[in-house]
Formats: sequence, structure tokens, C-alpha cells
Amino acid sequence: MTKPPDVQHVLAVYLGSAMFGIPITHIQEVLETPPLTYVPMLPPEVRGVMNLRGRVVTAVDLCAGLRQPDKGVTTSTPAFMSVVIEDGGDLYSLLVDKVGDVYAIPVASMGAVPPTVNDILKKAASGVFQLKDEIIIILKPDMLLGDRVDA
Amino acid sequence: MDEIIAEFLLETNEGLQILDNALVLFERNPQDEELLSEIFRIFHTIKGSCGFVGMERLSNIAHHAEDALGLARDRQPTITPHFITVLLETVDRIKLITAGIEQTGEEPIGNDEELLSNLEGLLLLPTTVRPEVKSKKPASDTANDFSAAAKPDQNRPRSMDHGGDGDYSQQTVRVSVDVLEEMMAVVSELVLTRNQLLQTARTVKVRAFSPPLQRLNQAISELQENVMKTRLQPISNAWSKLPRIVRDVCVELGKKVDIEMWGQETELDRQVLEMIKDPLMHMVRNAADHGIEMPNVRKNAGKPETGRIVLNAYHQGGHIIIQISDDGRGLALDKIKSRALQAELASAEQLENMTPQQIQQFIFRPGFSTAERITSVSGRGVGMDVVRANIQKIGGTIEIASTEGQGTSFVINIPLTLAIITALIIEVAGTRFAFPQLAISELVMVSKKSGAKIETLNGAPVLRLRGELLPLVSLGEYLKIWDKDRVQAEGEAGISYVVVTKVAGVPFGVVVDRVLNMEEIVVKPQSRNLKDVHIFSGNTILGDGSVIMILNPSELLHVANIKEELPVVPEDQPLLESPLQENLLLLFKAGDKTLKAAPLKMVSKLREVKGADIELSNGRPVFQHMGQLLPIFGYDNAPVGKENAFLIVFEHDGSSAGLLVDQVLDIAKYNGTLAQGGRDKILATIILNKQSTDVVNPLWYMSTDSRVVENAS
Repeated sequence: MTKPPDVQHVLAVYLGSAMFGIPITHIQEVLETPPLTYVPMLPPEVRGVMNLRGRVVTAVDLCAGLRQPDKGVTTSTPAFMSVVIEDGGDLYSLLVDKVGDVYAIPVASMGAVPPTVNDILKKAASGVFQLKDEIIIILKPDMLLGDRVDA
Repeated sequence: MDEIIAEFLLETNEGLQILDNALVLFERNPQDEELLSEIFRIFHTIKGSCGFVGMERLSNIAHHAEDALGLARDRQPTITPHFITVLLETVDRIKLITAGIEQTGEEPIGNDEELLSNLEGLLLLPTTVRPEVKSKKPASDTANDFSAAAKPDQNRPRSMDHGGDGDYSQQTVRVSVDVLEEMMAVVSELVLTRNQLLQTARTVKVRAFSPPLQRLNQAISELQENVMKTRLQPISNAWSKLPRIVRDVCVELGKKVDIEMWGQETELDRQVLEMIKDPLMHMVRNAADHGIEMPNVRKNAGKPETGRIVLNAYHQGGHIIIQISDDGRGLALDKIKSRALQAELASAEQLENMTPQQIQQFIFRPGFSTAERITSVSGRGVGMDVVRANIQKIGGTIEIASTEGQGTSFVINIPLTLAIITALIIEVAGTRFAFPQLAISELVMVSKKSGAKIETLNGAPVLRLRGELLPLVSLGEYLKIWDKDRVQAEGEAGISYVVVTKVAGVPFGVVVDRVLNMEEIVVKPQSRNLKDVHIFSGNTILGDGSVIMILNPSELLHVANIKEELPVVPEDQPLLESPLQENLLLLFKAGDKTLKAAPLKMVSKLREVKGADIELSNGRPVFQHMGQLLPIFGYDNAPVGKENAFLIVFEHDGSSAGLLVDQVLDIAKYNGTLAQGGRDKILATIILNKQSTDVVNPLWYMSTDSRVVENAS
């Protein structure tokens, strides 16, 4: 095993005004969300499926997936963004309102997730970091997907 | 793993596959020298290449086997079953060792002495002269395409291009399956992109693009076809083990069975092939073990002592049909019945009323076995349910036909490939879905105006199709994507379609809003969290680039059964094809609160009527129905009111009549016999669900007696 890296690069994404970080090592690409096909009978956070250059990608609403209080943006904003990640050979797109910068976060100074957040976020977040004037919550994207959402 | 060893394993495995079959065949035709040479050659090759890669144990075994075979070739002793058995054991041992090599790269440690002495024992058959082993090319090296691996040239991998020997190997290249899969995936993408381009070209007409686009189109189609071809394998690959299995059963149980295989060259996708391998093996083993009787039993029954198992495969309209039939004892209905009773799968009355076909279906139930004894080969009751599940998994169907005493025949219908299927694109509430064509038997347009109309029985929608009631599943309602109000408004005037589907022999209808077109779709795997939704079997990308879901008809059947509250036959049974219909009663309420019933077989239609639609003709109430005037009656001479009510339309021998009732309740089964005909208004009063129920006589309403009474009153 090599020594874990000192810094973790995360992409900042926004759900309303809340800021989350997704480790860039998980991210395959970021794009404007193409038209989605609604799939019935799925959990509410799965918004449907989309075509990404011939591959079928399952679109998961990050806002609903994290059970965040709906800021009323994600689904009504026409040009919401897709952060595509791969998990177990399947492609998933995390739907977010806005994509921000990439931050290099020193692992050593990453704080623990405050106990006040909801249970889902407790499982899905690996830590928080104080930026200049914002707090970014670092996510473990694979914890958000599929049946593990409610686990 | 060492590349040379990998190559060696590949070749050896190919050889072994042929050996199994060849040995069984040789037992039948000990005179076939060519076959013997073939067997000899394969052992020789194995021996040779073992030495080359330094596999002592294998080399020793192969050497002994070769000796025994050399004797057979040169001295032609009587080929006893023992001779073949020992050689088959040898093949098994070699398989075991190669499996070990595959895992560790080295020969596993083991003791082969018994086997070797058995092989040596073969040399002591009638003649004991140890034959001179012709170490190089054995006789008859005709351009035999039985196997490329059978060439006894140890150096083949290195001497690919020195003339003569390499004819066959030059034309074929080994490609790993992964590469093929990858290629198929890329081609699928290419096809989709091409479709999108063509669609764009149709709307945006740019002349300069047109000719190259045409060429691209053509090239991609050809490419697709060829890549598809690379994935095809003859079905004989799945069948190659079967003669051996049948032989083993025969030796163990002392039976005589011939296996015939037709259409071995029928090709199908390797993915499909993998999926049906085990089910086929299981069914053939079943046929040999349970189907074919012992020789003396067969003789007494006037059949030839040797039983036959016939396999037949052929293409039919984009599907592969595989038939497996035997001339054995057939399915014993009585045994199935008693087992079904014992396992509480059905009650005695239910069984009494079932057709043989329906009873035979029980063998597909989990854990169902009628074998009296458990042999080492089969009879544990883990079987036909798994077989059917596997076949259904790849979108296939299996049907059974059996006559007691004469044999059993299975017909399996499977798609040619899993990667590309033909599907009907349908639409519900603005969402499109793909419906696999294999499951569709017909399409019916239904509307308020046309003849076909969706009716409800006890809240469950049904369609009357050529005299049979077809249970319906409303796709929109099931998927909960219907906006109720909108649909009702639209449904009043609108037209919808029923996709008549048949799964596991059960017909049912799926109600959809629109039917669009048939399309060849490329099945894309769905992500993990979508797999939990069994109603979809996959997804695909259409020409316009949108993703749609592929419906799973067997799951829809499941849904239909849940909604089916008709307490008649167990699931999986064709509900209304049964003679039970004779005893089905339509329950309704009219007049007082007691339950009334009418024989369902004379009911041709149910409809709601508005009081205003009822007219008078010659002083008697009539109703316009299908362009005719239908005389209608109130129950028990109740005056025909102006309220809205339900109308039960009776039809028999060309005459018809309508009965107005307050409420239609359900369909129920009555196990007793009902008198038919008669001149009374009430056929009988029976006890149904602990309530006394009057059964009306539809014939009375259609006869002249009714007029008389009516006029008199």
C-alpha cells in the first residue's frame, strides 16, 4: 500500500446554496444534463435514465438522495448539471444545481462531520472542510447510489 | 499463466470435448476405423503436447490410453462397454488434471495407478500383442474438420505458416471472448450513432452529406452483421456432452437409449448458448433417467428395447426452436396429481377439473418430482423449475406435450441473440417502452365505438376476444404513470390498444395508449438499482437518442395474476381455456339482496346502460346492441326502469336477450352439475360461498315462454 495522499482534490457542487465536494478521482465527466427518460417504479431520488454517447446512465438527484431540504432548484432549473461517476461498472449521473471549482483539501485538516446532519449525510460524508468563507462537505459518492441510499 | 500452457489447455480441452462424443459413438460402431483413428489421434496429440510442456502425469495417462487404442486399432478385439468406460474414465481424469493446471499452472498431485492398471488391463483383452505405436501421423489424415486440435504436430503453434499442414489454422484465429464483447458493444454504439445521423439528415437536408452517409450506413450494417456472426456458435457446442450423459445413465441403470441430434449446425449467440447448456443437459438426463423405461418394460409394452431421445434445432423467424422428445413412458398424470395433492398445490376438485395439459404444468413447480427413487443422476426435484426460469431469463419459452405411455416432448423457443431483439415500441402516458416481440401474439384496437371494448369484472378489466375472456393489465395504472382524470377524459372518446401476450402458455392483454413501430433494438444492460425493478428487463437507446425501458412480459403476467381475483385455477393455468368454463357462474345482484348467478358460457357481453337508451318496441323494452334490437328484461319481471343499470347480454344459438341487474359482482366456480336447458326461469338454487344462490336460465329469456309470461303479467 502506498501512503494515502496528503491532499484530496474535490469538485465543488451546489445544491441551492449548500456546497458539497465530490472527490475528483470518482468523477468521469461533468456535463449539462441531457434530456432524461422517466422510469416508473423507482425510488424518488432516481430521476430517470439518460444517453451518454451510447451508454445508459442512471440519473440520481443528489438533493433528494441526500434528503436535503428541497431548495426548489434542482429539478426546476432547466440547465442543471450532471456529474458522472462510475460505480461497479455502472455509470451514474449525480444531478446538481451548479458546479464550482476544484479545491485541493489537505486531508490532515479535514474535520469530522458534525453530528447534527441527517443520518444519510452522516453515512455519505467523509468530512467537512472550512474554506475561506464557506464550509464544504466532502461526499463519498458510492454511498449515495442504488440500494445503499436507504441502508 | 505461461502462454504455451494456455495454448496447450485450449487445445487439450477442445480435444477432450470431442473425445467424449467420439468414444460413445465408437461404442455403437466399433467398425468405424476413421472414428477410431480420430480418437487415437486426439490422445496422441494430448500425449505429444504434454511432453512438450512437461506435464508428466498427463503424458503418462495419455500414453497408456494410446496403447490401449492402438491395440483396438491393430487387433480389433471386441469392444466391450468396459473398454469404453475405462477410456471415458481416462478422459475424466485428464479433464480433472487440466482443470487443476488451469488454476495453478501446474499439474495437481494425485494417484493414477488404478486408472493406469485398468488401462493396462485393456491390453490383456483377447490378444496380448502389444502393438507398435505409429508415432507420427496416423492413417486417414483427410481434411477432417472435426478438430484443428487433432493435428498431431507438436510444433504447430510455431509452424503456422509452413505449407500444407497449416491450411485450416491459417484461416482461423483465436480471439478472446472479451475482445468480441467489446467489439459488439462498440458496434452497437456505432449503429445508434448512425441512426441518429440518419434521422438528423432527414430533417436537415444537406446534399453534400447524403452520399457519404449512405455509404456509412451500408458499411455499418455490414459490420454489424459480421460482428454478430462472430458471436454465433453451432448448437452442437451445447450438445456435445449429451451422448456421454445418456451413456452414463444407461450404464448405471442398465437401459438402452439412442440419442439422435438433428440440426447440429444451427447457430446461436454464444451468450444464449451458455444459458441453455445446463437446462438442455438436465432435460436430456431426465429423459434418459425417467422418460425411457427399462428394456424389459419397453418390450412388454410393444416398443423396441432401445429407447430414443431426439433433439432437433432449427431457426424460425428470428428465433431458435429446440425440440427434445423421447419415446419413453410419458408423464404419469396420476402420479403428478397425487404429488400435487400431497404438496397442497391444488385441491382434489381442482385437479379433477384440470386438463392433462394443465396437470403437466405442475412439473415446472419448484421441488416437484414424481421419481420414486432418487438416482445419482436425477430425481431430487431440483429441476424443471430451474430449467424454465433459465429459459425465461433469456426471453424464451418452454412448452410440454406428453402422452402417457408414448413419450414426452419439450419445445423450447429462444431468441437468436440477447444483444439485439425485435421489439414493439408502445406508449403509455407519453412515455415510450419496448415490448419484446417474442411474447406478442396480436394487437387489438379498443375504443368505445369499435366492436372490441374493455369491460370490467369485479373491478378487474377484461377483454372479450373471440369468445374468450382475456385478463388485462393496464400498464399505465400498474406503473402509476397515469394521470387518472386526464386519462378518463381521454379514454371516453379515445382509442387504446391491447397487446395480446402469451407467457408460459397463459394469454393476457396489456393495455397501452399508443402503438408506434417495430424496431430492432440493442439491449443495454441496466444499472444495479434499476435491476430491482423486475418489470423492466433492460434498456435501450432509440434512433433519436432517447433511452427507453424494455418491459419484461413474464413480470407483467405476475401482475395480471395478482389482479386476477377469480378463484378458479392455480396460477400459471390458462384461465379460460379450460372446460371449467362450463361451471363458471357470473354472480350479480338484482331485486332483493340475495346472490344471483348466470352460467358464464352463455354470457356474451356485459355493459352499462343508461335508462334513456332503453326503447320500447311493440310494447316491450328493447335496447340497441351491435346494430340489433335486443329484448331486455328486468329480473323477476321487475319493471324496466329509467335508472342506469348493468345489462347482461345472453347469447346462444343465434338468439340473444338482455337481463338488467343492479350490480355485477364476480365470477365463481361451481363444482356440482347444473341442469342445462329446461323451461323454467330458474335453473337451480345452489349453495355458493354459504349463500343460497338462484341460477337463472338464460334460455328462458331467449325463448318464447318469456314473451308469454311477460305479456300475461
